[in-house]
Amino acid sequence: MARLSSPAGGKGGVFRQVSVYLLATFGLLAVFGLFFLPMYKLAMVAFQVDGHISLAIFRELLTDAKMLKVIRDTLYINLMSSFFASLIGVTMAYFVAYADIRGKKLIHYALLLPLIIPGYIITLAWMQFFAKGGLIATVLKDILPNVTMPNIYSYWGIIFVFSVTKYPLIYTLTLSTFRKISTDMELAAAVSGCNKLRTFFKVTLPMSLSGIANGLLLVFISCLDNFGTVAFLGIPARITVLSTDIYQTIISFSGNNFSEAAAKSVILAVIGVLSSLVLWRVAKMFQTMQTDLEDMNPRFFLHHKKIFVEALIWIAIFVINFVPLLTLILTSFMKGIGGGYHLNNMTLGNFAFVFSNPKSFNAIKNSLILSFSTAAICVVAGTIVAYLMVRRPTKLIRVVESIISVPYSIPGIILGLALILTWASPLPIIHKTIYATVFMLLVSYVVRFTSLQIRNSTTGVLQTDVSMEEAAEICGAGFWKKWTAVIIPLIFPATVSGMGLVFINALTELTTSSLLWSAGSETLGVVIYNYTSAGYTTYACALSSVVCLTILALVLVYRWVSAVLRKYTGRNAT
Amino acid sequence: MNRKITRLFSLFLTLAMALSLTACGGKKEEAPSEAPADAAAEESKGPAVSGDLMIYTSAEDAFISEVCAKFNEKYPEANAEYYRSGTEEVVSKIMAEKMTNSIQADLIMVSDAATFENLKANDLLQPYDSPELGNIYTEFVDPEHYYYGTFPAAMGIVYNTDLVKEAPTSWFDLLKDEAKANTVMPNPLYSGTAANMLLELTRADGIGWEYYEGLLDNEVMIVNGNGGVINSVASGENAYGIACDSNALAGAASGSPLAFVYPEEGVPATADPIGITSTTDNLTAAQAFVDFMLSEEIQTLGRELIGKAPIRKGMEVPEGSLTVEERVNLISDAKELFEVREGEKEKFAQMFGF
Repeated sequence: MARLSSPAGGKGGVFRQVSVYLLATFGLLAVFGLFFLPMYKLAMVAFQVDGHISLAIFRELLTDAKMLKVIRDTLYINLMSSFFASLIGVTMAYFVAYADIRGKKLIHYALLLPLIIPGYIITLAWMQFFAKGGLIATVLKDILPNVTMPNIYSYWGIIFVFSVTKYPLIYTLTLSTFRKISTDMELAAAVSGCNKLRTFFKVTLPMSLSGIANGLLLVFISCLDNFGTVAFLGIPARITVLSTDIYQTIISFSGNNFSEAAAKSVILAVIGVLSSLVLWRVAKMFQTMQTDLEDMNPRFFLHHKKIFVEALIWIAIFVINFVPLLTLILTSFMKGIGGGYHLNNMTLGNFAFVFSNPKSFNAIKNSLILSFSTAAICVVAGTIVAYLMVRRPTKLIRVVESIISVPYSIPGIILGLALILTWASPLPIIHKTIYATVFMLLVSYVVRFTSLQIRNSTTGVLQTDVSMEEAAEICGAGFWKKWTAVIIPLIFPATVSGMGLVFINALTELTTSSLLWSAGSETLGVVIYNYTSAGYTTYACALSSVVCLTILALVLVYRWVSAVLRKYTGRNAT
Repeated sequence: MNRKITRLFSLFLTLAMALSLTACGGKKEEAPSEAPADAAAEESKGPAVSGDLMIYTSAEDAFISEVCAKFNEKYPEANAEYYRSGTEEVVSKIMAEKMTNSIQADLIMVSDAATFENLKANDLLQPYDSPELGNIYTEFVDPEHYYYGTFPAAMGIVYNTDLVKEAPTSWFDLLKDEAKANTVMPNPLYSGTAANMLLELTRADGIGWEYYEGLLDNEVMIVNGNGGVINSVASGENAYGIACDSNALAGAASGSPLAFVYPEEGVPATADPIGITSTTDNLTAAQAFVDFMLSEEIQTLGRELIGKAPIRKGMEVPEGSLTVEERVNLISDAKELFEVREGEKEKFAQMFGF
């Protein structure tokens, strides 16, 4: 498709060129001020001792047995979690992609649940699930008196919770890769005498390795980034990973805690970058021939075994994604923990508390304001970048795009520390600090989540044909008219789903907020974290239940809106 | 119809863009709007109790939020707010704010006196002669009046009444076989009462560091705060716990199967002291808040709401609680404890692998 080249010397052309460059420059400045300057400060703090560039802090850290154990534990937990997450993700993707099971759409959405419920809430839910003296243990005691509940505050507990919260990342990527594998290859294998299992290991798995590697990368990075799960389960078990170690270094006051934390952040970043490179290479290596379109037809038929497979899948989904949340909701109604499961011990008091307590009320308010503002800012910035990237892919725009996508893969705890180091002291002219205000959080959220929006908006722009815009221009539509009447309606579905993701992520953010919050700028994540670590489990569960139900309601409204939209426009809103 | 709907949505998205622009704009407008608020705080230095007041505390959310609400009710011109975390985190925050010259707290109320000696040594506090002095137990008041105990608390043993048949009487009962891998305690690196207990028990005759070694050998579980201990014992995860008397008795009062004992060797006693920061810009309100905390109204509230024993002499204590006179208190000189506090915490961290 030929692009409409702006008429040479035309006023509009020059204006457009200038505005593109202005936008790009502004974007670069913003990214440098909000991301690269903080990162530079962080590096300076880590590599400087008494004003000289030095590796002294690193030498000390990397010879410290405690630090080495932290690094070992981080790697061990992340690798094991990636393995088990891919086991769940690939298995589920295989059946959803190829088997002729019924209700695939419902299974698909049920499997995606951990993507929208924040990890620390799921962790809190599993803590209730495995609680000795909890409902599950009480029921289990009657059936199997000799079995005791496993201790979730342990290595396996963290790995288990990571696996059941992170598998959707592998599942979604593998699902689309599976569907893109040409049926011919599998047929060829079958003709050559391979049974189903052999075909899977000889053809399907090798051909989907690039998708799986990409998924593994996401799981690994997201485990590195995680703070809530390892803090809830690791701290009581004295298991420390890099993110909790950095957090504890920062909050435990001692003379040089910032430089120590900065050095640990550098180590964490290096691990993140190295593992990204390795998995990215693997993904490239295994990139194989695929069809462009996803083949949605089932490829094998289970016949009489179908009902068993369906039942197994649903039981797995139910146990993994629903039962823990139900125990969480149940705990939020408890008067006294351990007081037994009967009506006398039930109360609405915990909900009354979280809605009347100034801290949690403030958190609800702050998180809503923050997530609305973040989503609004990200949708504008992200959509502009995405549009320019697809339609006017100059070198400058590419640079901006690749720079903006960096913060998303940088663990939030590092970003938080970098922002503190840059912004804690008062700003030069106005002599005020934005540190300890909600604006600090807003900055960090925008920096973290803009790339998420870009990805979704890009999908939207790619799906629309440039000829529509050209038609608008030919019909005499100005810049504003072209955007409001043509471009925005066309890219709306993909853009708004990106906006929804940003909204939910910002609403429940914990990792960065845990460092940047202060009295008056509490967020939902921070208050749930504080309640849990102070031992107010019932309050934490009540607030978490409110958050979960709000998110589910939002998703349902979104599904409904997009269904209406689809009905009227005939477009596929995913 | 089709066009109408799309136009509607394009309008919506344009609105979202506009919203984000105003959100950006709001950032700039915020700076000048804060200035008058500061000016108001400046003016409030007169005798009237008014203006903003920030309390950094480790007291329970349910309690301190109620105290702030009642204070604001009594002084409608004033606006008391709080920040709550474990003692050690509250202190870290204050220290970090001191480094960047941005101390927000007007008052600090955390669990133990040694912490206040630390704050005092860092020039973070100022003295105050409260008119309530004559009505309260002076064991918990700083001789130089930099801080006042608010509720005398004691660490002891809490146990699950469904799981434990014979009530423990001694700290050493937690080293027995039935308590093996069945005991939970708060973390001295998070909780101030736990840190104070560490200092008192390790220097007490016949207890010492051997006791903590014994706990470690007996596979004690460690959670952040006293609240976590209560949950763990109430749910039956552990049969025994080390906790503050008020937390345990409040848990029992809410229907959990709990009981509390004051071990015979003596109990590390703390009193959630409160002190005024040296940097406060609202001294009148801060002093009024200290008096208010020691008043009969708030002392009664603490007893009824969260099972705290009052610091005022002659007031009733909660059910199951012992008065200050009735129990064997372990109270060392706060200055001495402060000297060794960080070192002992570090020793604990090494020993328990934190």
